[in-house]
Amino acid sequence: MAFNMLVVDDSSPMRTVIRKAVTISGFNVGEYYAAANGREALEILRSHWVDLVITDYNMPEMNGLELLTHMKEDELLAVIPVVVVSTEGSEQMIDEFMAKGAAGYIQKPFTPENIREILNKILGDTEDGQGSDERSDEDLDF
Amino acid sequence: MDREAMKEAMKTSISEVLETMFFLPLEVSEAEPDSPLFQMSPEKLKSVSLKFQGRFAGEAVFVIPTDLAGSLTADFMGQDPEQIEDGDVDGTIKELLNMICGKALSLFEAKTIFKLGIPEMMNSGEALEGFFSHTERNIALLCDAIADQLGVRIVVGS
Repeated sequence: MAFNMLVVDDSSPMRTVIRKAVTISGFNVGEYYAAANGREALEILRSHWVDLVITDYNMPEMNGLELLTHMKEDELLAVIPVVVVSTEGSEQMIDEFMAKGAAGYIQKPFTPENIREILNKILGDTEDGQGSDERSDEDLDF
Repeated sequence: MDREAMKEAMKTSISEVLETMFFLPLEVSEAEPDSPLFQMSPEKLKSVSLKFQGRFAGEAVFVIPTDLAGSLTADFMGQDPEQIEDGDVDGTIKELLNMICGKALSLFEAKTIFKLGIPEMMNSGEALEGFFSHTERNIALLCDAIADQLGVRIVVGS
């Protein structure tokens, strides 16, 4: 089953790489939405159905933690799983993301394998098994 | 600040970021002013700076030949070099420095929160001029790739 995904990152190349990593991990992406910060992301979330949000932390206007907080305060948006992909690596910061309700955390730099592992936990294996561990790491190069 | 520990964290971070996400194997060493990278015309270079705050504050600077930045961007995005726009190149090298700096700081002090600023393009002439200044607080590293060199500098303030 296809899922709609929103990628939130102020770096356009990074949004491209994340989208590509999800796709080559075998997950079936339906609609793909992109936002450059948390504020843009909320606008998209309030007007489109999204099944998964993958967000950076450090962005202008509204960062990933603020986005997560706004989503958890909104009854409709609170149920959407949010994965934080960030350069932030301090244990305290990661704990804060998880305490705020993040479904997963991936530190940059990451490999498609890192993305696949987290999405498998959140979305379950893909129907053809390609998103599961049956796919070798060599198949998952960017 | 333990200068040697920070230098090692920077080296590990640079290698990890460039090899994991850009497939660019390289050797990282202390930069010397007479290295070919620092003899290049600033017009042929792109430079990015990133400020950070935390237990101590500082700034990281990244200098890369424009041609290499273009090919790295094409590889990173999985697109033909002809399809790549200037904005993509700038976005990629900003992200590159963001990842290097964030990873290095978390390797240096895993329990401390450092707040990274937003990476900004900077004048390459100024980047080169400042690369070897503040010697006590400055760590200047040179990354030797197969055919090119990149420079990364971190200066720690207070």
